[in-house]
Amino acid sequence: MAGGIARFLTPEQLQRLSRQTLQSRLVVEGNLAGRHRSPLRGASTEFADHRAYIEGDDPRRIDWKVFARSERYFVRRYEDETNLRVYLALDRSASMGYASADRRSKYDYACRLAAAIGYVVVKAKDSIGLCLYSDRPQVFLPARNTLLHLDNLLSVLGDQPPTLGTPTATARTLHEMAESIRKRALIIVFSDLFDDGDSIRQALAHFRKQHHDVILFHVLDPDELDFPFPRGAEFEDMENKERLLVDPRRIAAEYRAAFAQFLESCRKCCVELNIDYRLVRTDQPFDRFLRAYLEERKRLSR
Amino acid sequence: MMWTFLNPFFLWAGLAAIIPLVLHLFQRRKIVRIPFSTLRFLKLAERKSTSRIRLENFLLWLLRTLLVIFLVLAFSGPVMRSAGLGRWAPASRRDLAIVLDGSASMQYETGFLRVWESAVRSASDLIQELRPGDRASLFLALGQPRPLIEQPTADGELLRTLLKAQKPLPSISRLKPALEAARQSLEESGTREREIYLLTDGQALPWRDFLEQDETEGTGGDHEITDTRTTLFVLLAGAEQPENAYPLAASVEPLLVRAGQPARAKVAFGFCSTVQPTTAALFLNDQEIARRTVDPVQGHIQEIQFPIPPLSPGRYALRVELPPDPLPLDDVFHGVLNVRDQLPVLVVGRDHDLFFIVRALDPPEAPSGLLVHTTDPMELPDRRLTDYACLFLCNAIPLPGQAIQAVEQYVRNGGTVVLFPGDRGDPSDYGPWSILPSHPIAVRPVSPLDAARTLRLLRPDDPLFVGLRFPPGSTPTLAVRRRLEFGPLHPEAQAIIAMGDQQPFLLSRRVGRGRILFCAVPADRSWSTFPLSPFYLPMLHRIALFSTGAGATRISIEPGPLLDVSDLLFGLPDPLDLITPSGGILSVRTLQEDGRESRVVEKVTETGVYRMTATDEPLLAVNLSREESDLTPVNLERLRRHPMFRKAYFAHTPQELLQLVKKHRIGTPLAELFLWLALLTAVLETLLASRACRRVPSLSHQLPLEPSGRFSSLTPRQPPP
Repeated sequence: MAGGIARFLTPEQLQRLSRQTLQSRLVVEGNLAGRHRSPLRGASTEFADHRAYIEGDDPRRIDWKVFARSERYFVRRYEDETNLRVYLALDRSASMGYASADRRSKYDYACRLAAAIGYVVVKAKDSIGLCLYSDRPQVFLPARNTLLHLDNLLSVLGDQPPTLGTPTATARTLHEMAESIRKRALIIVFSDLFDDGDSIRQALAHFRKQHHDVILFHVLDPDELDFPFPRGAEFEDMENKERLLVDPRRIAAEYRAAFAQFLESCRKCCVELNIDYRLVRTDQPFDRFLRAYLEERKRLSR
Repeated sequence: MMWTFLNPFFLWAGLAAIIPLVLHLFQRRKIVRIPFSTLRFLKLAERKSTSRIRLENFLLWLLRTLLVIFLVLAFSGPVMRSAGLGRWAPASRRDLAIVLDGSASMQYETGFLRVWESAVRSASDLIQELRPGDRASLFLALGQPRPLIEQPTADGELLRTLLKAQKPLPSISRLKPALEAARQSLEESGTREREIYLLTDGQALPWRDFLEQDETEGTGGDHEITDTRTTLFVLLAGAEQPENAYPLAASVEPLLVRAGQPARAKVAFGFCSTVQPTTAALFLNDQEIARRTVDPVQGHIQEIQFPIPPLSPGRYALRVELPPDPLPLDDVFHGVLNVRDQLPVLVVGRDHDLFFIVRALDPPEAPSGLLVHTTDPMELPDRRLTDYACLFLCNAIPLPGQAIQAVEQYVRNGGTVVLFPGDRGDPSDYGPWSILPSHPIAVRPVSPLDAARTLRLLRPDDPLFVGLRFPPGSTPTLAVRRRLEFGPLHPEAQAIIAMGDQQPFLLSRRVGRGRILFCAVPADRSWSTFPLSPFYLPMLHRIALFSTGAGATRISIEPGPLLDVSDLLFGLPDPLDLITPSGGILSVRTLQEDGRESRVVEKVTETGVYRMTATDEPLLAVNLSREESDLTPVNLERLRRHPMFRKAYFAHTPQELLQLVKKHRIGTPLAELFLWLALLTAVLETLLASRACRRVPSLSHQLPLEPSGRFSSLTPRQPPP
């Protein structure tokens, strides 16, 4: 096994993941035949419509039953099936490097999740690409459907962990991605979304306008949800180094209320844009989460 | 009000009050820095909670500082002192005024001690407590305050000696003038603290001067007993519910007790609290002659009659006695019973003028006890008038000048003369008289239409009419044909009976030790139907009895500095000395006042029977005023509400008094109070701190997150137990 994959996934996890598939909820445009619905007409068994026969068409496709009724020549057309192109947009800003005690950092968790999804995608002969960004896109890898490509992609993720003081510009990055990915694809975003809410909404809407299917993994540490710090301390913002002295017990209630409002706004935004929004806690086993997620997605896509 | 501290050095620990502030600042410097993903939500939360946190922080700082202060105060031994003490009370000098109730009720026995002894012991303790530089004055509260040491002195030995020499007197006490005297004695105390100690038995009577004042009016113009520097301590050493039964008053019926005739003594008994039924005995010359059961009813006066057997003429020492009770002083009531033989009276006039009066004074069917002698006016100078108790002049005017002088001298020496006019004399014949209540100016005929006249008592309180009873159903009406018209009344004279509207019927004037009465109509039927009226006989009898002294309604007197005993010693020669019950000599003095003579005794303090030095015959009986026997306790609550006693301390035992004094001088320790406050503050601080750091449900518990990362909406969940 290549080094990139092995960095994030164990053989047992790979074995369990080999039985999983990632289905797109929408039609996608690939350049290979696959099992995903394509907007084009092709040679699948799914009947699409009829069209008038023109010279040069294969006579085998003429629908003789229609000819018998109408005495006109029509050929049958079938839906095309193509492969899936998946792009991973992964936030490597400094805030993604936060890890509470004895837990993985959000970035590390997101990388493992991305590795697992990549493996599932590649195993299904679908393509996977990568956009690693902080305040700007830093790495962009086009979609390929080989394990070697996946291994390289994961090596890139593993080699570029977040660094302190790195700001985030998720919205701008997503806009750029939306502009650069022309064909319909599945965009999977891994981020903590600590950016301007309205901008992110516009960026996600941009994806949807381009007919991309979008999955948003909102990766959060439990400490960010509950703010369980026992005594007063000076908190330092990992992105802009700003400091604030607070007594966590005194403001915990207000913090949780504000954070809950933030989560709710994110969820509502995604529901409105028909984006698959998932909250991912870094304290839950990622493979179990992914399995539950993929099975649910598979169930819903039938 | 002021504060002192028993351990003032502990106040330095008050600097610890800055500990919370120092800790707060110290904690600020020792900061743990925690990298966090974003401060975005922290800022939001802090913005919302800043004002609340500031308030909580302030309250916590305040409570913690207060906690330290309360602890420091508790350990420094704060003492709240009353306003009556000076700034440096422990080292200050004070003047005391001790007022000892010297009334008879102080002899009440409570257990093994009399109230007086408790009060004296308490006073001794107070004197014993005097510190160098302290001074004390001593007063005895009686009817008038008696200063024993008026100017405060530091000589404790002198105070103790004087105190031991005192004893309660058979007198009432008034506390108001005594307290006023004590207050005045302390006025020269300068900057010293002043304390007045009133040691009494708790009887309501001495407080009457205070309690009769309307409490809502405040003290009026009175001086306050207590002020910022003067403190009043009151010891109410008597029993809370004193028991006492006592003979309240006694009288003898009939007024003129004659030899050989039975009489009866009417004795009224009073009670204080509920006492058991008891027996009362009547003694004459120390010989028991009757015994009766007394069944007390609280708040009521019970009157019991004792029979007196026929006695020979003379004066008898009468004594009503109850078994001893806690207040033995009033268990005995003394009296003097005067048993007379027939009373000689002299009626002057001619026979036909005396018919009615002689039969009225000595009715044949009912012996009156009067021995009536008659004489012609011309023979009057030959009579020795001092042999007669009373002299009736009936149509006897004019009299020879010698006779007039003799009669006037008789009146001045204590005799009684009754003048009835008649046809013999005209108004000018009264000119030589110098003792008449009024000189007549004419004899007026009365119209038959205006003849019916009703007699009206103008002076019902005159001793002549005390006990006078007319026959049932009779009205004092008479028909008058003629009457004597009087001129202006002598200043010392007065009309005691009126005839009709305003015309005087009977005039009276006191002259010397005697009295002269002047009637407007004769004693026969020549001018009026007076002799036929139903009150002719009783009135003449009252005059005769009064003139002999038998009309005196009292058989005893009460102690006093100057007592008029003329009625009790009537007919006894001057000079007169009495042997007191304890064997001393008491002289009877004759006092001239406004032309009137009276016999007085001075400084009578001893109760009992006073006897004549020559014959050892009982003459005077002196009883303690029964006011003192009413031991009803003073209403302490009412007393406390009185404006003059709101700042006073009341104790019921000498020990309690000493405790109050010590508490007052030392003050009220407040350490315990401050410890309680510290505890309360600590509890409040804990509650507030717990509230500030209260556990709120974590967002993880509120978030309905599915394993696939989906959540529908944020709905609250109950936190795990």
